[in-house]
Amino acid sequence: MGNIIKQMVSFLGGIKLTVFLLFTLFLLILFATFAQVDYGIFEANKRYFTSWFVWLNNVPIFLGGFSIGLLLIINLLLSHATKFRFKLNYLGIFCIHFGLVLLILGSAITSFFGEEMQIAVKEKSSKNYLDYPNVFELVIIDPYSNEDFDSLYIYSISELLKGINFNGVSIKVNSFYENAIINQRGIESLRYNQLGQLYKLIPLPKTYKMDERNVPGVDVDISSPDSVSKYIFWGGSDVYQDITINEKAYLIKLRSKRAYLPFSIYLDDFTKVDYMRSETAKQFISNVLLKTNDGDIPFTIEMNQPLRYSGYTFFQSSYTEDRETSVFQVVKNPSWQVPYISSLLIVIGLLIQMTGSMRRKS
Amino acid sequence: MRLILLFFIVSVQLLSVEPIEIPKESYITFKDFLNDKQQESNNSTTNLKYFPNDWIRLEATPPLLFRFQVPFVDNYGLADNAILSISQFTGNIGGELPNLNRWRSQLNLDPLDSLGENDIDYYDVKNYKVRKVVLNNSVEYMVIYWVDLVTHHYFFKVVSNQYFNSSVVFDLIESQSWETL
Repeated sequence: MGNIIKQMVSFLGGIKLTVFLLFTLFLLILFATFAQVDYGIFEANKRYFTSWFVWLNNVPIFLGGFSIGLLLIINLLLSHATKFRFKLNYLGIFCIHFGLVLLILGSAITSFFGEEMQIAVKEKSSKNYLDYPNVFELVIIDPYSNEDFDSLYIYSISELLKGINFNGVSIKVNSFYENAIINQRGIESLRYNQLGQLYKLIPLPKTYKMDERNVPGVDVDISSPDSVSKYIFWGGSDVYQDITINEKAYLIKLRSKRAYLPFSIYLDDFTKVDYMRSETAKQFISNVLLKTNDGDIPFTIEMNQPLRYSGYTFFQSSYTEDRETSVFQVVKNPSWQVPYISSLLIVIGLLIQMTGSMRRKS
Repeated sequence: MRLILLFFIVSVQLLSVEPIEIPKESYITFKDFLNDKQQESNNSTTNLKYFPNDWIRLEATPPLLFRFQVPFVDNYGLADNAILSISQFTGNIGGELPNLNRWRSQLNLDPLDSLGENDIDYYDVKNYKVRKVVLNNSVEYMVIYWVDLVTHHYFFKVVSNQYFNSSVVFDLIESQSWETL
């Protein structure tokens, strides 16, 4: 048994595995580069890099980014444990390898815990939530019971597809379309309530283009012990539909997932500066006010000058045609310092190794 | 047994969704949406005019702009009434064949696989294309005028129990200022 473990450790820490994994990583990057032509960068990233395996027809055909990263970390750590002894001569190599491990771990933390959202704020108005433009949720809102706040019950798409039980009524999906639009009906359909009476869902092919997004639509039955009501929900609609459950009124909608902030952002002024005699943007400048519990904090967000606050980083992303609404890309990345630290460690390690080699030669 | 009950209680607690509380927001409800649509209809209907005085206006709910009871005299010289519905749609409303089959289905007629030469008549009214479809079954007679303004479309649909001379509807269409609508 001891021999088997030794052989496994030797294999997992061996240089042959390192070469194999680096070659596999090279192939993965190659396949992903070709795939992103059809699928777009986000879908290719999801299928190849932020996954354990690359799947084809539900069969894993190649190692994914997570698997290769994990094996590289194991390989690096075990090679140190089995081959290197901590001596001053090897300090440079330790720094380089530790920097590499940190870099891979940092990217794994970003994949699992990092989030990308956006917020569009109109001039002279404020907003206290971020949108996930490509993630949708079903919300049931009670805006009537309390004068001071609204109560939200939030369900993810996967929870909706499994079926929801809310205060004794069940919400069951009849059809779900990952990408859909709504179209006006020629004749009202009295089988449906509210929006479904006037509109019907039209499924569309899933889009992979970066400048388009998939907007889901769902046809549901909302069943109580006495009755069944049919509704359609579409993620692109602004309309909150009324629903009564156990004689209590709620609003219900399928919308982009939101993350509510412990503060709000007020856009005082947005300015777009163009290059002379052209409409090409030279600079976007948003003067904002962070309204927090501790008071208001003014800040100017420009290109290459993001706002970092409370774990969120707000980047100036774009604006609307009327130039009255500024759109910010918001990133929450708990390991944002890791690439800087790991790069520094690798550089220090290289310098130590280089000066050490030069001394030995002289 | 107690363990099973405890597991059940814990899992119910885990599975039930707790509400989150947020500051009051304003929401566009379905009623607001209908009111806005009605407002839009009212604004656009003021641009459709010259309805004959003997037409009786009926209640119209969106997406209908107008409904009228249109009196006429049948082939036997007897007075009868047809119902004219006027609706407006924007954007892509489908091609000729899908719309024709939609109207056919309203009269319980079988759908067509392709358009025949006589299925649709075409007219030109102030450089806008107007399509005319005439359908009937044993009990109902339907005439549809489809005014194609490219970005939006108006449908004038007349339904009666017998043959109806729809020239009065075509006169109404010709009298409108389509370039401003």
